[in-house]
Amino acid sequence: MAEKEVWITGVGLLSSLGEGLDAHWQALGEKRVNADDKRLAPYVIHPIAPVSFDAQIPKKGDQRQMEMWQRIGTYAAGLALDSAGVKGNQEILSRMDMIIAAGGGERDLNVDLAIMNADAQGKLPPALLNEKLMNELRPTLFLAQLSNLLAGNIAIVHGVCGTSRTFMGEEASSIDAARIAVARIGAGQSDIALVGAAHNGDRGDLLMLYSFGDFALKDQYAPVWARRNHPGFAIGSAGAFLVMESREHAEARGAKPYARLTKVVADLAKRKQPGAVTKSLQTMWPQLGVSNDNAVLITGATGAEPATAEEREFLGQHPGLAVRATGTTFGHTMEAQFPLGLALAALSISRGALYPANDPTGLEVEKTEVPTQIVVLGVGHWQGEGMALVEAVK
Amino acid sequence: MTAPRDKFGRPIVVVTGMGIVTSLGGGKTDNWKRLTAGESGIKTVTRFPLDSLKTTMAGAVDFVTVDPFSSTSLSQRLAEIATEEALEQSGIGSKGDFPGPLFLAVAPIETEWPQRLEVAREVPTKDFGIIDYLATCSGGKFAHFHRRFTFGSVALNLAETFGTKGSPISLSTACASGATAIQLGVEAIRRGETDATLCVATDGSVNPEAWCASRCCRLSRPRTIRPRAPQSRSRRTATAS
Repeated sequence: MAEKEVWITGVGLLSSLGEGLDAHWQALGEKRVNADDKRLAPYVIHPIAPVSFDAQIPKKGDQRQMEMWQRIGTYAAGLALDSAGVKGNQEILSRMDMIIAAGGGERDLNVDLAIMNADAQGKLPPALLNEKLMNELRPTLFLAQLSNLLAGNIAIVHGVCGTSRTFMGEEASSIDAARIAVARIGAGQSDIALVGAAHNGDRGDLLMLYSFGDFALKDQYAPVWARRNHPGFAIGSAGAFLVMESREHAEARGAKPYARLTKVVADLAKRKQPGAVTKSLQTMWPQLGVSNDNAVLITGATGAEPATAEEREFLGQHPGLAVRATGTTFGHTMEAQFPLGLALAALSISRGALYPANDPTGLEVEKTEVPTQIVVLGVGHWQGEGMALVEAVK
Repeated sequence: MTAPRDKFGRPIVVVTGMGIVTSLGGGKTDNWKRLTAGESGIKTVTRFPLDSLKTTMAGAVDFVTVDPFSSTSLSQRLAEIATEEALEQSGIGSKGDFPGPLFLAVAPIETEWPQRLEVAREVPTKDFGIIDYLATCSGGKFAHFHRRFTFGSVALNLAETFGTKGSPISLSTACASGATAIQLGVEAIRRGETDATLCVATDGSVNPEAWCASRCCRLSRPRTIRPRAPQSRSRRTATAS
């Protein structure tokens, strides 16, 4: 049975640059970057742009019981549904499948720091840890911490009520979310799906995990390709959601596509071996079906090493590619890295242009031709690799 | 030979191996024996002090140990034991070379209190804030905590141990996670992407914080009520081909 064509018919974006496709297109055109090296100094982050969540999450009560990353995600999901023209369409939403890529929730840093300080000063016998946790953990916070509650909130606020799956964990989770959605739609197991992720970079608690591995960018912002001697990722903030559907389903309801999502492939390179990432990318590349080596490639390269150097090695083997690194502009948005790349690819295809390069090193080159094929690349800072091919609809 | 198909023309999916570790015991035989004898795995928690906690019972697996202890390491160990049993029964593939992808249902992962406190004790400043704390986190001394507590860590380690193919998927949809793992496995076979999938569900998350948090949400019951597990501690592994 021939695989069905999968179209991207809705794109929702909220990030450190702003909200919506027009604002993003304009900001990218102006090479705008919203980085902050003060608020969590010495760490560099990209905070979410100010937004009134009321537009997509009308009930204050709903907003209150969400943490920031869930508000960002629920908001961006709403934008995607709007852009697909299915917002409020109960017949479609009731059978729309959802695959969300999510990390964990935000912690109450004040509670954590009080406990850790008490312990460090020898004032925390084990019994007291229980008592503090019992008394100070708030139920609302716990609910907001669960990975799958982003999907839950999207279901509640927007009424997306088909199957709901939450893939947990860093960059690979959203590559797989896109891969599974495309496979299911392609095989006729699903007609329409909402796929995406959200990330809030303005979180000291989140930096803990990445500090253990010394992955976070410190002291000074620099574009991703200019971090060779000062590696690391600046944690970013973004909600990126896509409505994907079969061509038949989209045509039957008269929906206009942004682009076609032709293929998504993923891998788990054995990174203990040097060069494994480069090799993984070389193996995946021919599976995409890129017809012309002068295509465009939007990468989520993080700036963390050795992954970024290995990716650069791969890119060096394809000198004709016009490369854009989302990390320079948005920071590293972790679970949202890949959907953000897909969203920008679909946006560029739909606008018939690629946005300008933003790279002092010259790795990124300008491209004036209308892009018809855009490869989206995702390499996790520690594990997981993937690629997608986004094309103009023929 | 053509694979047998169902009435929709899809490959028929069968289960060829199962493994199980629960608070009742390790393995299918032991679990079945105790289950049919009417035994319960629910008992008073001994894993951590119960001072000031109202709920005191759980279906914790205490006959499996990991060192150093973390819920995440225990979850991983339980998954390994269940998978080994399932693979042995199935006879599929060879050691460290499972011919298909991994779908893993796993409890939420984050740095746990013993590890947080281990770092806290090394912060040189008194009354430290998050930036002081982060400075102590970095430098490589605690790099193993990053390996342990990334969300994808259990899946990464299982994929390496059992040699599953492609990108492993970790699922976190609360009590529906296990069903979702099986659903993804079945769908992949039906699409013809693979002949076999390894579907694993694991949860070893009885620890003080999860305990207090589920209590906050009234997910667990105090002891005045009939003993009952606050969350399912069961896990099963099914390999299908």
